[in-house]
Amino acid sequence: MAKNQICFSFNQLTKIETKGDFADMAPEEIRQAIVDILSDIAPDEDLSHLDDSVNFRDQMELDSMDFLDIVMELRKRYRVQVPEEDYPQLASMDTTVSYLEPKMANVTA
Amino acid sequence: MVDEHQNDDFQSPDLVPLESEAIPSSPESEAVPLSPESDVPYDTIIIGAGMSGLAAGIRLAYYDQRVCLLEKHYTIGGLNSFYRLNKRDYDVGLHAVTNFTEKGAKKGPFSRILKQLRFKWEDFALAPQKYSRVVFPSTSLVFNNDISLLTSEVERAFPERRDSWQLLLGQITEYDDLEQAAFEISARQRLQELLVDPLLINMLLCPLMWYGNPREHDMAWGQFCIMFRSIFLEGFARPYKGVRLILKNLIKRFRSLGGELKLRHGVSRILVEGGKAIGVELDDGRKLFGKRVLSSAGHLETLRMCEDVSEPDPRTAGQMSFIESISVLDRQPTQIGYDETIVFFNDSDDFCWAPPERDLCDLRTGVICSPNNYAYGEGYENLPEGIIRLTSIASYDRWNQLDEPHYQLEKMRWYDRSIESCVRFIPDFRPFVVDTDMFTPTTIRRFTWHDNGAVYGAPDKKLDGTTHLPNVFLCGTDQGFVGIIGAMMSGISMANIHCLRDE
Repeated sequence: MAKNQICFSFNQLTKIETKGDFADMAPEEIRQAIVDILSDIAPDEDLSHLDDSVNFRDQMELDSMDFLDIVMELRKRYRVQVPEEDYPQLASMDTTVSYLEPKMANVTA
Repeated sequence: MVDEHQNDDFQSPDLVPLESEAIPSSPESEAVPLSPESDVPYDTIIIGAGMSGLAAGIRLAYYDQRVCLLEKHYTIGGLNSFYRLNKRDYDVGLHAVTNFTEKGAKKGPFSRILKQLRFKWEDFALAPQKYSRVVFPSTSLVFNNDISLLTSEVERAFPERRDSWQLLLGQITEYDDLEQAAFEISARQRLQELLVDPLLINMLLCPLMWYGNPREHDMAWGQFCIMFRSIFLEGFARPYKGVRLILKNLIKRFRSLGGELKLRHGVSRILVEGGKAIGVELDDGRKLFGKRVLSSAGHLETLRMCEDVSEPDPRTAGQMSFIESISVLDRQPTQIGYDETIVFFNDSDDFCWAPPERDLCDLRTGVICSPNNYAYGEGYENLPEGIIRLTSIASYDRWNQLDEPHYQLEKMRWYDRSIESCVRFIPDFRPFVVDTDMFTPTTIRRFTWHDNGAVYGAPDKKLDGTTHLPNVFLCGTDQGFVGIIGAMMSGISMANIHCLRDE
């Protein structure tokens, strides 16, 4: 009887909200996915002049909390897991895209 | 209205239970039929729907956790809640939001919070203060949200301290937030070495202690630096609609992400099995299960809930509590010559920050704030009525011992006395008062559930948010950050560090 009173959120349980996965994604599409994530995390940044070879940290105001967000958004949107020891791979756009490409292959397999 | 306390300030018939007004109704009804999944534990159970619990809840729900936010009181907000009395809206804790930075600022806690919770700067609609003042009998220092004003004031009043002031600013900028050892240094001792002048030291400590020091007499250096930045280097602001606007945004976001809020759901115990928390037992005996618990109930208060802990040492509870005397005026405060946003006063060169020794309150020092005196800018009329709020130091124990008739009587007496004390420092507004209210340490206790109604929690902070249990964590005042922005920052960082990474 007590359990009946425990209210329950159905939309939480049924929420499977992926925007796709990295399968079939070309590097340009992965890049765009990262740009989308960055524009959500740092809405005030102008991302049109992003230099892909330069560290994010050197051209944007990103702190460690923001990097955690990049990782979390990848998991939320694309179900890609980035273990903590791999965080340095997400330093720049170039390193991020090349790091995520094989992950994409794993998803496909 | 449900309230079990004898000293109930809010029994006026037109008090509206606040959920109906400010908390958008939940999409799921309370009586959803039992589903087989209801034995599935929550990812995180959060205790307390104040600023820190709400912010943590948003972070976790945003990343698809199943989150349950349990609040003992009948409304959200904790210390920073609000109420309606005699057809007027009142805020409980909010004088000012600290840490104000202008739109577009990329550094500082406020911009971090906006980013982490995915809000726009405009969502909080913060209007900056006009100017504020620290006033002691022989000197006063004016400041605003630009540190150069305070610097010039210090140079004017204490010309021989010009260089040491710059040294102090440097040390505060360099201070590292999360280092426990540096945090614990005595602020008085450090300031004594740097600034020497006892009056200047007291005049700096006065506002910073008032807005965030849980300790008596002295202040932790870390707390001093955090408060100095949030007040002098960043600044004061307020939304035109007060704390309601902030809470409304937070709860709407939390619910839209699928988070569950349960009001009037006090936690009586944290259930422990095999050295880990497995869930909580509610005041009515029901049990909820979860993978981890994030508690804003306070350090000591949380330990006491844990089944495996016998009575913790009560001496670690905070003692600093306040009364708040609120006066509604028939005109704007500026019309009687009161222009400041906030005035911190002290009636001698010695500044004593401790609970009253003999009486219900200690009126030698206080904070006066008028929500009218913010720069609301174009498009806003000023607030319809003048409001002057006054905070004074009070003893929880003495207020709590009063029976109901004496409680009401003392409230009236201390309203009069406290106002009499504060009009020594600002124009006498008493002829223009049309309504008053007062809340006391027992009111604060009811909203926060912190021991002793300790506004800033326990004197010893637990910066890393850990407890003796591997999956029970602290957030809120006892983790270390105070104020509206500090509390949200605490919820966000503890959610990030302890609740998101190991998923």
